[in-house]
Amino acid sequence: MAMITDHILTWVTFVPLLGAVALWLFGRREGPARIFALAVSLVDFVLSLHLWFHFDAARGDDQFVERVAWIGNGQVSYHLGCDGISLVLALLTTFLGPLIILSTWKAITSRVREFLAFFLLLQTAMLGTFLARDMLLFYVFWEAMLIPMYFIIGIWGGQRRIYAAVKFFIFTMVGSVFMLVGILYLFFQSGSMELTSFLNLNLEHNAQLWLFAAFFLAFAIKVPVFPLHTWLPDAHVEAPTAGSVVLAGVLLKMGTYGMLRFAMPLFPQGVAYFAPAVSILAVIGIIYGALVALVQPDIKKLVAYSSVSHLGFVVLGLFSLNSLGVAGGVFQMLAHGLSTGALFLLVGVIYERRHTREISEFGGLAHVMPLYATFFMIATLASIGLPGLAGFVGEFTILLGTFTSEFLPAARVMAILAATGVVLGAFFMLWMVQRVFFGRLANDANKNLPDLSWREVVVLVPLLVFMFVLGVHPGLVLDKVDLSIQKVLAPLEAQLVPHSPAGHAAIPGGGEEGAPAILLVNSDAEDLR
Amino acid sequence: MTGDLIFILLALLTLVPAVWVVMSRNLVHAGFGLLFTLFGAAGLYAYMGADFIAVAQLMVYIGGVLVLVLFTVMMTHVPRSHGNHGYDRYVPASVFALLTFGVLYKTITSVNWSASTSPAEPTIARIGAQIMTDFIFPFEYVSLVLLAAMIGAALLTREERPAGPANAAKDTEVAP
Amino acid sequence: MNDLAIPDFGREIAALLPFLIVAGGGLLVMVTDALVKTLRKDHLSYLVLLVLLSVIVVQTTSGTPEGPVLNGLLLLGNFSRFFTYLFVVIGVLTTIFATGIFDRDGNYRPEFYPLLLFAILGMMVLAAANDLLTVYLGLETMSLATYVLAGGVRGNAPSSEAGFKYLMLGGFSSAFFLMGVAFVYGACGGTGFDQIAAALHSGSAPMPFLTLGTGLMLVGFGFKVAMVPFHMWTPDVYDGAPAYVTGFMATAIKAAGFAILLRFVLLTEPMLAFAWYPVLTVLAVLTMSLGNIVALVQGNIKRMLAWSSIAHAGYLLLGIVAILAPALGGPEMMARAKGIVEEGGAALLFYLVGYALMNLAAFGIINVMGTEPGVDGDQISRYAGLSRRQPVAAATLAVAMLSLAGIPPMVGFMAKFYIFSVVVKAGLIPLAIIGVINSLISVYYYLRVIVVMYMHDTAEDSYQGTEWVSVAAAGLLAFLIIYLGVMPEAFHRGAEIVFRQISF
Repeated sequence: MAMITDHILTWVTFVPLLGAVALWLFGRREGPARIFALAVSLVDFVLSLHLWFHFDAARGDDQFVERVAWIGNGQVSYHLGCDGISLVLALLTTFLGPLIILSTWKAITSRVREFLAFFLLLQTAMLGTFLARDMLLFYVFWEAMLIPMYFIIGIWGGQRRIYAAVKFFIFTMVGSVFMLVGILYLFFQSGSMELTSFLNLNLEHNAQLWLFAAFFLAFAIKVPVFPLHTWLPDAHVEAPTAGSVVLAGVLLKMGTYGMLRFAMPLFPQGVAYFAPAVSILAVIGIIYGALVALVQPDIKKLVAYSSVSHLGFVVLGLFSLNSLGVAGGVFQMLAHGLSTGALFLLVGVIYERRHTREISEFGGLAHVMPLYATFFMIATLASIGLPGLAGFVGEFTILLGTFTSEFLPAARVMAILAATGVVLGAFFMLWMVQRVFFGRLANDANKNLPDLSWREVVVLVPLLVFMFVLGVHPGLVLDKVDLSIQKVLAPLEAQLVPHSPAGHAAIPGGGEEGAPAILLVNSDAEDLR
Repeated sequence: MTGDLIFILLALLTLVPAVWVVMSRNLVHAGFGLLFTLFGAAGLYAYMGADFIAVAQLMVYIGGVLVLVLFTVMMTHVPRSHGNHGYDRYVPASVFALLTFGVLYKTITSVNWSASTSPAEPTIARIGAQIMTDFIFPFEYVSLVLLAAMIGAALLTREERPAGPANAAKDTEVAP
Repeated sequence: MNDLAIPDFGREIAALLPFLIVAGGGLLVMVTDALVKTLRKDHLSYLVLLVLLSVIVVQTTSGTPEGPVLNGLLLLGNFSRFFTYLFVVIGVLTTIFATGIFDRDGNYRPEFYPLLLFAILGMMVLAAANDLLTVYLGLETMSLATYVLAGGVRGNAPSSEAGFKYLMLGGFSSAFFLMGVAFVYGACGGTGFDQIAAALHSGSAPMPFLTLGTGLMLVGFGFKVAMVPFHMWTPDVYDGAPAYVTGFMATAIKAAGFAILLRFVLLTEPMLAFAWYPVLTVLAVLTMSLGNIVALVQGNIKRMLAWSSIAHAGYLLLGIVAILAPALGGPEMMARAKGIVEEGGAALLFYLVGYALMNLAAFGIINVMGTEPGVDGDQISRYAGLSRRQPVAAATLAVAMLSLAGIPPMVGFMAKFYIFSVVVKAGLIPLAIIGVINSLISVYYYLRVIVVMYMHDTAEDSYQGTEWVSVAAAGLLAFLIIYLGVMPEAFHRGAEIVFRQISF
């Protein structure tokens, strides 16, 4: 046991990889391979629960740290750590894993073993990305993630899968290679690849701007921030259901996570310089995503564009630069992972039955598939931010954070514009639900559709449960991440000058310890719990 | 003065046939032009007191390489090139050649030469001794280089084909 | 001058044992083939493997003496040992790949074996060279042997064309090189590296001669490593030669070319930096960019890899440029120079090994797939659906492609990481950016191979055949590609140690 708990992060990260390797032993036997992969992902989830229960939220720093020299004389190390932010995202990843594998039971029928192997490899890469504390290690995981995802889209995807897969790969690479140059520059400056050593660098203003731009580009493409989002609808539409779920559920969060973990703390002056522009892009993304979603005839594409809109909220929250907005952003990452993940699974369910996703093909499905309609409705409501469900907490906190932001120019206007995005989002989602599920059951092809099977219920229920749980008890997550967020943002304090002098709190000093003055800390967030 | 005259004569002997080699449409003529050029070069070496190189030039290039070239040209059927005379290639080639000449000229004249006044002494004996001592490795090793070349040559000619091996077809492309 | 002082032969012969084994092995193989009539077709390849393995054993166990031998014509030490290992291992793999093809086609080429050994010998001499004379001999042995290897498939027009083109352009490059040697000799009064270094340090050598001479020699090296604008032969030769020979050329010749280029650059460092640094920088950028851009539109996998090898030469040249850069900088840069030179050299060595691994893996698979060398058999489209028919071969080729594209966790990424971090350290951030943009472009065409293998359905003219020994060997390489990508440290440190000895 001690062997596992002492290196818990390594185990959590690499158990899926071991599983993927072991899958080769199964030869052509697909059934046992499926069960084995499911077991592996469950084991990984259980291991990650250890993190959840042993994480000391009162510390907020990296825990379960593992560090071994890797390259050079310890210049580059195998360094894993887990703070609150990493914790919730890693848990989201391991939580979705078994559900996704279960969801592919009927959907993936060709080359099953390869699919499972690629999926498990993807798990390892994603977990590693969230847990790495060494810049090169992070980069390796970040890029390695592309390979399995590329295969998943390209082999098991739809009609234009190859185009989508290559586009996905190249877009992501475009951002990351510039980040690599940035990393190399920082490496040269600090002589180490440790994140902490980067934090101690006193970079000059111009260097910060360039480096921030390089890092931000990499993460913004991943998120994706408007106008870099064009790969996303293609990837989502062409990917198999499981691919879409993991893409929306976890991969996109790698972008926002990267902003929060690297781009923002490392280059405070870059943040100060670019934050207004970034938040404007975020707001445009929110509204643009919603408007484009409105006119989509394809359910999956609609959900994909809603992701653009929702991730716009996350970015807006992060760049409101107060702990309220950032906490909201982190929470929204989680909520979006649950609700959009569920929506993609649900779209997959209907696609498996009808092999179409055109909204016009459906109508009145609630009559034949009541359970399905119920689940879909809940997921939709969670996605559009109905109070009591997870989405609400995230969006509301973000809007509040933005509204009170002292660093963004015209923060209130932005908050209001973003709020219209919420309304639009509610509109297009509900309109879609109405067209698909209510009204007359016009299409004969839909007359005999079977409702959800037991397996599908098992896949969906955990997601729905957590939408409720997080909706009524957001503190469950916020408690874990609060201190970590403060710690991550600490380097920003000294550098930021509030935009409007009419702000609530004064900057001077900021205080070495404890609650920094400029961050609207717990006082407001407390109210939400 | 006589020295200059000898030099000029040798240089002309080298250069004029060289132009002939390039301009001639007939490979046999070109081969004979080459003979004079190589001979002139050997003369220049000898004039500079580089006796070994002069002899080697005569033996290797004239006695060996050139004879081989002439044999090859005369014994194989080489189609006469006709039609396009390829003057379009002369322009870039001339530019490149002139450029090369300019660079070499500039380089050579830019160096302060310290002329040696001592009379040239025979070098063949010294070279021989050097080859057997300090440079024994290259001397021995060259045999392996030649062996590799021989294997290649043997391979290319091992099997006779009526239309000539693939290389013969290539030669026509190379001849201007 | 006339005292025929015999050097300490015992020591020298022990030192030269690996060279002697390869040379003697080449002769032995040749004679065996001629005299023993009852040979089965693959017997010669076993003999070659035996020779090469014994080189490894001898070199590992004997602890070769270090330092100059044969009157300073060769310099033995870690550097030459490192490259001997590399060439021999490449030779072993080439032999393995070649064996399979011979058996299947009945296309028996006994002369392949001695020539392979002679080419390896030439490369070993090149990497150990300590005198321009030896450099030339090494270059010629290597080149003559590979001209024939590339062009030796009789009755096959593309192969003959490849051999002939390579011969002609190789001849030109040798001429350039010799001309350069002549000038450097004239300037320094000797061809030995020590003499050249001494002349450079004393400042007695006339600069114009040196500049021209080193420039001409760079042209000669440029041909060998396929540097733009001396790259024209590469696509045709790589395409025309049989795949196992192409693999050998792409890896071993490139490694040998960069080995001597590295020695040469370090030998003439400050001078070369002042004279040729801007040119080399521009050529490095051109080499990368042209290679990658033209590779984008290739439909033939061997031509694509040929252009990609040009691009990789560009990345390697970046390392050379980085090594030269400090000489131009102020005192602050000079203080860092030693570190940059050492890291740059180590990065280059690591890159060469990584590049050899991934290219050999790729050509190993291509060799198995292409039945008739050069006969339009290497269209990428013929790999359609390979992952279903030959999963191991497809996976190996996919790993090689991803590695060539520089995606972690493959060795190609680590190799680029080391090179680019030296480039950044030398203060050449724009070059690093151009480098990463280039590797971005390259992703597209490497991915295309994977797309065809994994995402297209089997077509009528898709490849079927497989040769399990070759596939297994290539699969082993794929494993090494990943292993070195994850655990590069031990190897990189080894490269640093190798390099530290050579930097003067």
